[in-house]
Amino acid sequence: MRCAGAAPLLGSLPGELDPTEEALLRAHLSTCPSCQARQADLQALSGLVQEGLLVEAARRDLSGLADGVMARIPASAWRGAPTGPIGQLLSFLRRHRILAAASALAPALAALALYLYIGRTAGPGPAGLAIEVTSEDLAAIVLETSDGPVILVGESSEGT
Amino acid sequence: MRSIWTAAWVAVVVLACPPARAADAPVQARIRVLQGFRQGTPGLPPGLDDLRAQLSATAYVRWEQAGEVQSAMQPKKPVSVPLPGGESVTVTLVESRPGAATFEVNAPASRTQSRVTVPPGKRIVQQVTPERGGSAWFVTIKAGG
Amino acid sequence: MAPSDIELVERARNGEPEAFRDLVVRHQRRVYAVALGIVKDRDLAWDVAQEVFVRVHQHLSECRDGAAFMTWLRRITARVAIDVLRKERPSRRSDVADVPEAVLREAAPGVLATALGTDPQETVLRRELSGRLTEALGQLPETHRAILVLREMDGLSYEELAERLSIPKGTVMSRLFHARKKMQVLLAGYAGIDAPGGGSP
Repeated sequence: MRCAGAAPLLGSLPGELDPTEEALLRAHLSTCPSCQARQADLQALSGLVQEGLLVEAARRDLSGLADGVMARIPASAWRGAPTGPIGQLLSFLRRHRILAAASALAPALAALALYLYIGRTAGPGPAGLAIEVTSEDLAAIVLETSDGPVILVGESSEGT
Repeated sequence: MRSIWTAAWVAVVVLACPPARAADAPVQARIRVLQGFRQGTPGLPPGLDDLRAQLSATAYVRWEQAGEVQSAMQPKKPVSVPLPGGESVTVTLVESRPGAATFEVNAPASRTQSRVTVPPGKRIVQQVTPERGGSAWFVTIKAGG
Repeated sequence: MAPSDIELVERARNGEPEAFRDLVVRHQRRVYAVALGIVKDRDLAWDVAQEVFVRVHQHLSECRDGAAFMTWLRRITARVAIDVLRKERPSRRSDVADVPEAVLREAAPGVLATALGTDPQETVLRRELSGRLTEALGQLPETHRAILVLREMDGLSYEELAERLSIPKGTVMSRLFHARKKMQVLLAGYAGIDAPGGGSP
């Protein structure tokens, strides 16, 4: 195999080449310093395209993008959404799920708190964290760390 | 039977209310205003080293402190913390007890409100503006120093 | 703690707009990044990202599997971005600056690897190059740009790229090679690296 044939095979993912191509490439690489250097270039730049594009995307304020999408979807698409005062209340509760969950669980939580209050002997208050976050139109995320909570707003950082 | 239930409810109400004296205790709080950047040379200024565990959990890589307020906070008395650019954040001590303090943070810029109970020594880090141009503003609150 | 993609899809399908909005917000940055890499124009990338999510909504009923959601989202993103590119092609062809083949032949292999060192995550040069990545991508012909972005962002195999772009596998491999080579020459230029025996592009 010559460089012209080997070079296009260099950026392949593991297992992507057929066994013959793989064997030929391995044999060529063991004797060709130029292709070894090309391979090193590819490795050095690995991930740079993704990194650069995500950095560029992170620079842009995307907060209006979802609004644009929602505006293009006809209201009739949300068939399940009830209208009127009850619908508005449900919509409010959906937007403030933590509040909604807290309200729904309030009696149970009060009973639990009381149980703990009565049940514990004299001593410091509970060491655990109680967190309640409401956000009108941004997603709120709570990261719990050993030093305390971190409350973030915006989208979840799927690896970015 | 009815009187037993009534007595039980009275006991519930009385016991559920924390002692007034403990709830009124002022709390020394340190509130810092930080700016986090998604880009740049990753790192924390020396003054923010105590926040490393929390700040490194986020996707922001570079941090700068822009302000600080130290206050003996009284329950229900909001403290306004200015952000560069004219906006501000309101921090209110809702309640303090020997083992925990509850703070409410109201951030109009991100239309976000939080109510967090933390034991002494723990810190709250909260993003108070949406991300713009790869950076966002945060406040951090530490009770008891 | 956060609902999975498929839970959000399910709730959106049942008429919860907020669930769909959460889904958009969760994935918009990545979709925008891929679109930007392919169409290179920021406003066009914004339009592509919106169109992608509108199409996702139109076909929500067809998505029943959480693992398949990401594959499906990536497929729609690639399709919409490439369609937009084809539509825009006549007015945008002139601003594509091709790198002369002679430069490719002259560029010394291995110089970038040497400059970037063995721990690429940490070097200042890598960060600088990452900051100029979209500029470099913008210099590539659109066919090279699309194939490189789909390979690097979505990790598509040669077969998947061949299917997505409707070209033979051999063409995928050679296009990818040329796209990478051109990127390397451009990035070496940004880094001020003089390839021994090479001219500047």
